[in-house]
Amino acid sequence: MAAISAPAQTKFRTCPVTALKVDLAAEKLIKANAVTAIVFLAIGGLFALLLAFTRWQAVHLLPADWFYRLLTAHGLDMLVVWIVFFEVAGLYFGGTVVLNARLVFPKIAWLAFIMMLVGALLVNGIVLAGKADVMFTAYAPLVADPIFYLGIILFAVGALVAVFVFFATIVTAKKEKTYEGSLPLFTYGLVAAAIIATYALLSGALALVPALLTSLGLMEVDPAYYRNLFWGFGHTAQQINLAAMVAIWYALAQITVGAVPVNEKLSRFAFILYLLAINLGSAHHLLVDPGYSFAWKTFNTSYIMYLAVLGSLIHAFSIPAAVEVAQRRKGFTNGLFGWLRKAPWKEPGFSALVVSMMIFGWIGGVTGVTIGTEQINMTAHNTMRLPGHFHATVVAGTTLAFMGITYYLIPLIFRKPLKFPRVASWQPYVYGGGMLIVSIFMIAAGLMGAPRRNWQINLAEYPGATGLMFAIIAFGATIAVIGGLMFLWIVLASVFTGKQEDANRLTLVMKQENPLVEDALPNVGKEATGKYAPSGTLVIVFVFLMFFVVYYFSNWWLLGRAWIIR
Amino acid sequence: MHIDRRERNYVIFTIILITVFAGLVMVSGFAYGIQVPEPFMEVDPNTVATPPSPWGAPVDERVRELAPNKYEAYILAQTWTFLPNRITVPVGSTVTFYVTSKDVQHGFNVQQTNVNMMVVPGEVSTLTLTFDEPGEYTFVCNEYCGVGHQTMYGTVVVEP
Ligand code: HEM
Ligand SMILES: [Cu+2]
Ligand SMILES: [Cu+2]
Repeated sequence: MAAISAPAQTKFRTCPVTALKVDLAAEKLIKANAVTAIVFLAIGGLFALLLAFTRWQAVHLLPADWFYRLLTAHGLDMLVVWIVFFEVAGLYFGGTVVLNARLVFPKIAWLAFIMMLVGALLVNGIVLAGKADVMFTAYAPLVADPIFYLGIILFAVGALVAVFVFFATIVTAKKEKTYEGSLPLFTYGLVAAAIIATYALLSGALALVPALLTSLGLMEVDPAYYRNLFWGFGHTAQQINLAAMVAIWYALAQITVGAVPVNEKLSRFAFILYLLAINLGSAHHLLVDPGYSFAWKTFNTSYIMYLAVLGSLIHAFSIPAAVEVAQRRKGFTNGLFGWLRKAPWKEPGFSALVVSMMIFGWIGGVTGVTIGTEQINMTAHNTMRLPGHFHATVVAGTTLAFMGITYYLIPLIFRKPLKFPRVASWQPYVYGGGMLIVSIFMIAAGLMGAPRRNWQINLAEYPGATGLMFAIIAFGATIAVIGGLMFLWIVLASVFTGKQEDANRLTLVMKQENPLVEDALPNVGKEATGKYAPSGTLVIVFVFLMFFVVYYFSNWWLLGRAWIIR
Repeated sequence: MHIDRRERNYVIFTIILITVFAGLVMVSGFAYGIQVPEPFMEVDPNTVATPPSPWGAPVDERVRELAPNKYEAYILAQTWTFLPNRITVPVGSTVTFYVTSKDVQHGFNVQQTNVNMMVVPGEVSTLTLTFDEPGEYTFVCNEYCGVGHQTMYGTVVVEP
C-alpha cells in the first residue's frame, strides 16, 4: 500500500519553540480531528441548552419526542463524537510532535478520519430524522434504524484504526530513536488510554454488531447480554477519557507553571492501575440488574473499581504537589499556601487545570465512588444523581481539560496567535462555574427522587423544591453554554482569521509576572525538601479525603433511612 | 521505587480508606442482609403475559395476600404502563414485588425507598418493602423505554 511512507518522504517543519520536528502530515490530521471535534461540541452544546430548558417544567420547551431525540443526539455527539475526535487529535500529537517523530500511515489515518466523520453524520442524520429515539445506550430490545448502529460501528472502527496508527507511530519512533529515555509522561498516559480504547472498542463491537443484526431482523440479541457488553464499551470508554484527561492535566501543569511530578514513577504506576482495572467497566452499571449475583457485583465494584480509584487518588496528590514544588522553587515559599496565591490564575491553562481537577475530584469522583457502591446505588440508580455525577466528570473535568490544552495547541500546531486572550482568561471560570451549578443541582434533584431521561415529572409526587432544582439547572446550563460559546469564538477566530506566524517560545496566553516556565525546569527530579516540600498540597488532599468520607457515610445514612425492609 | 515521605503516607492512607469502603459493602451485605436484586427466575417474555403465568392473571388478582399484612405483587411492565398500576395495602404491610417486562427494558422505582431495580425482559426482578407509614407511594419507570416513558408510573396506596 502506498500509505507506507518511508522516512525520506515525510515532510517536516521544525518547531521554533520546542526545536522538535513536526510532521506536516500529522499536523494536518491533528487540525482536522480537533476542528471536527469542536464543531460537534458546538452542536451538542446547543442541544444541551434546549434539554435543560425542557426539563425546567415551568418552561417545558420541547415536545416529548424531540426531547428524547435531542437527548439521544446530545449523549452521542458529546460523549462519543466530540471526545473521541479530540482524543484522536491528542494521540497524533502525543505520538509525533512530543516524540519528535513522524506519523506512519498518514493515508490510513485519513481513512480513519473519514470513517469517523461519516459514522457521526449517519448517526446524527438518523437520530434527527426521528428513526432512532433510543438514547445512546440503545438498550435492546428497543431498536433503532439499522443506520444508527451502522454509524456507531463505522465511527468505532474508525477510532480503532486511528488507535492502531498511533501504536504503529510510537513503535516506529522507538525503533528510529527519535527520543531519548522512556516515553514522556504525557505520551505514556496516552498509551494507557489507547490500550483501554482497544478493549473498549472490541466490547462495543460485541454489543453493537448483534444489535445491528437484531435491527435488521436477523437475530434477537439477549437484553442482559447487551447490557453487559454495552457497558464494557460505555464505561471503559470513560476510562479512556480519564487517562487522556490526566495526561493533559500533567501537560497543563508543566506548560503553565513548569511543574513536573515529584515522583514520576508513581504517576506512571497510577496509569498502570487504570489498565489493571480495565474490566471494571460494566459492573457498576448493572448493580440493580436482576441477572447478576451479589457476589459478582461486589467483586467487580469493590476490588476492581477501587484499583482505578486508587490510581486517581495518586494523581490527585501528584499533580498539585508538582505545581506546589515548582512554584516554591520559583521563590513563592511563604507559608502553606503562598505558592497558591501567586499561581497564574489568569492563565487559562492553569485555571482550566484547577477548575477541571476540583470539579472532577470533589464532585465527580466523590459522587462516583458513592453511587457506585453496591447498595447505595439503589437510592441513586437512574435518578438525576447520575447525570449530575458525569457532568462533573466528563463535562467539567475532561471537556474543560481539553479546552484548556487547545489554547496552547493553537499557536503550536495552527501557528496562529491566540485571539482574545482576556476572554480566554475568563472562559474556564465561566464554563466551569456553570457546570458546577448544573452538576450540583442535578445531584440535588436526584436526591429528591427525580428520574433522569424523563420529559415530564409529575411534580406533585416529589418534594416541593424539585421544580426549583430544575430551574437552577437551566440557569447553570445557560452560563455553561456561554462559557462554551466563548471557547468556540476564541478558537474559530484564531484558527480561521489572523496570519500564520511561528511562536518563538512556548506561548502562554497571558503575560506572566512569574518567572518564565523554563526557569523551573533545571531542578526537576530532585527531591523536594525543606521549604520546597509540598506541605500545602498535603493539607488540601487531607481536607478532600475528609469531605469524601463525610459524603460517603452520609449516603449510607440516607440508605438506612430509605431502607424499610424487615 | 523511592517515594517522597508525604506522598507515601498519603497513598497508605488512601489504601486503608478504600479497603474500609470495600469492606462496608460486604459487611452490610452479608452481616446485615442489605442486598441488591439478585438472579431470581427466568421467564419467556413472549408468554409471560398469558396464563398460567402469575403476570397473566386478571390485573386485580395480581396482588395476593399471603398472610395478614404480607403481600406479593406481580407487576407486568409494558410500554407504557404497569399492570397493575394501583395497589392498595393496609399500613404495616410487607410487600414483595415481582416485576418483569413483556417487551423492552423498563425500571421500577418506588419513590423515596430503596426499591429501585432494572426490569429486563426474560428476567424477574424482586425486592421486598415494608410500608410503615400510610400515604401514597409513587412508583415510576426510571429506564427510558420509548417516547411515552414519562407516562409510565403507578401508586401504592397504604391505608391507615
Ligand atoms: C453546556 C454544557 C452541558 C449542559 C448544560 C448539559 C445538560 C444536559 C442535560 C440537561 C441532560 C439531560 C439529563 C436528563 O434529563 O437525563 C444531559 C444529558 C447528558 N449529557 Fe450533557 N450537558 C452539557 C455538556 C455535556 C458534555 C460536554 C458531555 C460529554 C462530554 C455531556 C454528556 C451527557 C450525557 C452522556 C448525557 C446523558 C444522555 C442520556 O441519558 O442518554 N453533556 N446533559
Ligand atoms: Cu418503562
Ligand atoms: Cu420508561
